[in-house]
Amino acid sequence: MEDRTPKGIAFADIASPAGALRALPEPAARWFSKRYGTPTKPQRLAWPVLAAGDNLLLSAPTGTGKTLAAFLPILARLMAESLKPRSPWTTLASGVRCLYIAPLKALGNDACLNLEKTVAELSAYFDESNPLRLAVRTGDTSDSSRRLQNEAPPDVLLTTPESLAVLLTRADASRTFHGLRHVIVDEVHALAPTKRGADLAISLERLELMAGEPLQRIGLSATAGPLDIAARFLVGADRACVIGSADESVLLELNYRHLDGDFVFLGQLVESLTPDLRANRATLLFANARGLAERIARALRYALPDWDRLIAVHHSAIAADRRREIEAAFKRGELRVVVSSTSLELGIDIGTVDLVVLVHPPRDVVRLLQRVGRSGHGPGKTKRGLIFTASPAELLEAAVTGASGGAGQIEPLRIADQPLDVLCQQLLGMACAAEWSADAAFELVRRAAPFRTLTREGFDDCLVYLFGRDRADKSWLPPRLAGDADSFTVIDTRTSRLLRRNLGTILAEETTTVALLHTQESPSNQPEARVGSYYTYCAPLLAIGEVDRRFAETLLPGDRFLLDGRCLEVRRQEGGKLLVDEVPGRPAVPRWSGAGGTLSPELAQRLYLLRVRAAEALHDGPEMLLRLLMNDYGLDGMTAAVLAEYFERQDALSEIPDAGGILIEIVGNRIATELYIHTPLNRPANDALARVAVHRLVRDCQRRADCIVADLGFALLIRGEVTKPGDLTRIVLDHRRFVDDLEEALAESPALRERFRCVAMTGLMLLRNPLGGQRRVGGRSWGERQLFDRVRNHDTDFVLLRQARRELKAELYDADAARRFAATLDDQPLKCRYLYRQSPFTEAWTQTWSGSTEEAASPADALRRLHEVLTASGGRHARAE
Amino acid sequence: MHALNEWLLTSARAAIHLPTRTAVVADVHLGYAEARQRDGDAVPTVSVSAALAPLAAALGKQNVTRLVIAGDLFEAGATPALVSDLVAWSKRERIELAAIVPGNHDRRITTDTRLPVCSAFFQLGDWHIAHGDGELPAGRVVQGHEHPLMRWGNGLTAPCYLVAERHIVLPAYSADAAGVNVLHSDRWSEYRCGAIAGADVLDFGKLRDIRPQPRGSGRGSTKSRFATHRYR
Repeated sequence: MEDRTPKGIAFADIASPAGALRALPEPAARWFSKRYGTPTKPQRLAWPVLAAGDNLLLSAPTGTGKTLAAFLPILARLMAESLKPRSPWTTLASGVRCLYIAPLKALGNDACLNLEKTVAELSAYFDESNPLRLAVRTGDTSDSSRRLQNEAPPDVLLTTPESLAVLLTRADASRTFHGLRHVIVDEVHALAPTKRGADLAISLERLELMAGEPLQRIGLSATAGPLDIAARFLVGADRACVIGSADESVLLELNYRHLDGDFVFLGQLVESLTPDLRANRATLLFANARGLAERIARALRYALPDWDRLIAVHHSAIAADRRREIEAAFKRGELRVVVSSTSLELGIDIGTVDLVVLVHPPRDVVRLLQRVGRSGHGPGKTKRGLIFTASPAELLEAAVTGASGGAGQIEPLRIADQPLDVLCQQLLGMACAAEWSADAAFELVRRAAPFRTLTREGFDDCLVYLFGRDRADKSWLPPRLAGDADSFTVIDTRTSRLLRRNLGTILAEETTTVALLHTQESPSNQPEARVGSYYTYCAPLLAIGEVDRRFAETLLPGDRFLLDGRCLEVRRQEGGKLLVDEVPGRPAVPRWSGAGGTLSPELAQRLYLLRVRAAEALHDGPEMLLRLLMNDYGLDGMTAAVLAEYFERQDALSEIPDAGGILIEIVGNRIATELYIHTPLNRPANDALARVAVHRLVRDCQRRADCIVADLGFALLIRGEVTKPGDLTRIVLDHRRFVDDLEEALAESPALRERFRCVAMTGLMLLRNPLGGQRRVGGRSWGERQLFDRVRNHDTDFVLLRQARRELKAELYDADAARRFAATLDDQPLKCRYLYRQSPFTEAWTQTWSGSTEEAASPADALRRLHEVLTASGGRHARAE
Repeated sequence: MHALNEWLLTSARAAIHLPTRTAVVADVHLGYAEARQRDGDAVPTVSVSAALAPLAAALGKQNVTRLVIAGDLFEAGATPALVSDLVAWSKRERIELAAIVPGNHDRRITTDTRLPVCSAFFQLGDWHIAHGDGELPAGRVVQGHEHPLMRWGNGLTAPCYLVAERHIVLPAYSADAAGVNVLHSDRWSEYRCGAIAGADVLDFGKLRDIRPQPRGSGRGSTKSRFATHRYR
């Protein structure tokens, strides 16, 4: 177990308001008192720490003066320093002094506007001071502004991790950042677990080297919880940091509504929700997936025709301009309902919301708190959330998530674990700016928290790849770096140029833009196409959003699909865009890549524990169970009764899995056997178990097998009779060679190929923006189809291939948790129960089943099966789904 | 799969004209990795003989020694090195390069006298072999250029031949080529589709018959459209 309180992390004491003001330079304190009066809690926490020059991680809810808490002492100090007489040798004023980095461009823009006002007011209190200069630098900054910033760097620069990385590749970067003293990182919790965060962590180390002295690092974080890990991410492997936590204990008021009748879920949802929508001024709905958000928005519009323009849908496939429009309209109170997938959980200010509705449980506690945190007016107020569930299993999950949220048991932050593709990008960026000794570069990288356990071998493998050489030291790729094991630099200026065009770790999805054709071009035989069209007054060719490119490929003129909560009919595809008109009709729901979140491992464990407790309570009678659910999980009588009945049904047909062993339910006959194995694990871990089990069944036992994977268990579907299911389970889940067998099972997996392509792009093997544009012949999938095979045939342990495998084993499949569980099987009894049909608990697995993660058959076999089906039915068989 | 009595469509993506014992392939795109390297990708190259090995094996199996290229032999024009490798390959494998129809990617191909480059098309029996990027000759035509591919919704893909009464479209020979889905295009709906599955070419029949139903409802009358305009 990792030490959760590393050395050098301490908690700040809260100062008195007067004490906090005393920590500011006197003119700034005067200005603040006059302008705002008393400092808020985050400000009282932050100012003394910042005055002492310490690093700070500040956690506070939005709207509590967090930005000023971080910036005011710095702005005031910079202004005070600019009062001192300048000597010609002083470089103080000739570079960036304070850097602000946020994950979203919009955050930097907002902060800049606010700070400019502050600086203008503040400068009146500092006599004769030179005004501080502020500037934003993002992908949207114009070339002329960039030139200006390069020639005369601003005092305060606001930027994103990607733009910073590009800035750092410039030869004059060390001049620009020589005088840097303060770095502010916003939304630390959102950056820390990602590759963007790992990239930023190395950039911060490079900045510190350029500055020539320790930087004061300030992190801002919105989410409550274990802050020491966020602090460690902020300050790197071995620096001290003070944590200031101004998080109020959240008052959650959660209600659960269970919809499980004879009617279709969507219709029931709308019916049940309408009174709540009418009773509240502004309601924010979260559906876990973009497709569902679209369907809900449309269903609401259909049910509430008078609210047509008061309902909007907001997710990442809606065009950016349209999203900004929706956010602004919602804030102004012009919209009553916004249906979001997950896109409104974070960041952008959308004003106050009266009610937050969650359709299906949010899958982890942080999400629950972020979503419900959007409701309520100001700190300390009750946050109201309404959770809709579609099955007893979901209701159970929602109850456990809600109880965990109320108790503040949130998932720990997991810092990205040494992504080697990001390291390759950074090494190349470093080499662009200067010649490096390999030892010095290794030392620098290891100071960044995500890379603190990086081995020299891993580091050297990245260099060897960038030198274009393989393990046998033969040249096999075009080199990016020149040098040897001791020192390296970029090979030529062309490579530097290419790098700048391709920096970044965000990989865009393959999408097709959907644009609105002018409605006047609608065919005249479809007059209804224009009636009531929301877009009648919109500009022609307005981009509405985007759909997955593969989905777009299947559309023909006349096909209808759902986007922006409206039914759109395809007119034609032109210039890579899908041109559409709004029509009445029943649309298809687009597919977007990327599934919803997975249940967190902690929640899976707690769900399992609730079942154990429920089994014990049920032992003492249904009354005790009801009492448990109502008292400890905050359910009302009706929903508690639904769950109690669910437990009773499970208990009657089979049993409730408890701490006394692993329950295996067996349904089968001579033709096929289904083993339902209950675990305390979430889906990725169960997926790893199931993959290994099927692989071993086929390889070692010569059985044909498939699997169903779910949260809290998985099923093995085995051809033929299984005489000793317990013994077979122990064989196929043996923890020895578990990870090796998982790798073997995944060797041909499309998911690995796709992951490799992404890693190869981040690792700059494949460029997103090559010279002369993409080679159309190979398409975007060339990396997974062709490059993967060529690289694997040359070296199965190639550094980027290894990284792809690591990511797969850590994210899509939780190999570690699965292996740990498998190891416990030796000491646990297996309780085999023969059933005549599936138990209520496992029914949920099949209901939510979206197929095992991947098809087990080879593509050629799958095609042969498809051919059989299609030719047998004489064509016109079925949709190609 | 046999087509139109005269053609054997092989799973190596080469069509063999049986009366003249001549193989036709299109869209070989030699030098693809080199072109990507020039654009900035750090990817390994593939030798000409490795790229053409499956073709040599298929021709050997069918005992065919004559080869016509229906355009796009090269990805980004003919370089002397690629041409030398190709000529050496053809000598070693005893395959006669009967004709090369120039394609839109084959820049500078006519300047190398070692290649038997013909004009816009080549006559094989009563068939014209063309690339397909320009206007097609009248009569019976075999062409490349389109890179036809069948992609089903669940990600199942297969390069395919398209066959009509007087027209055959070849799949791209190059494994580098991604292909263009023909399943959702009105243009090919009357063509038979021969999809490559492992060592087989499976005849899926006319594309119109296996094509998915239209997306969403309401390609029917206005009335039915409103009738189905209801949420369930």
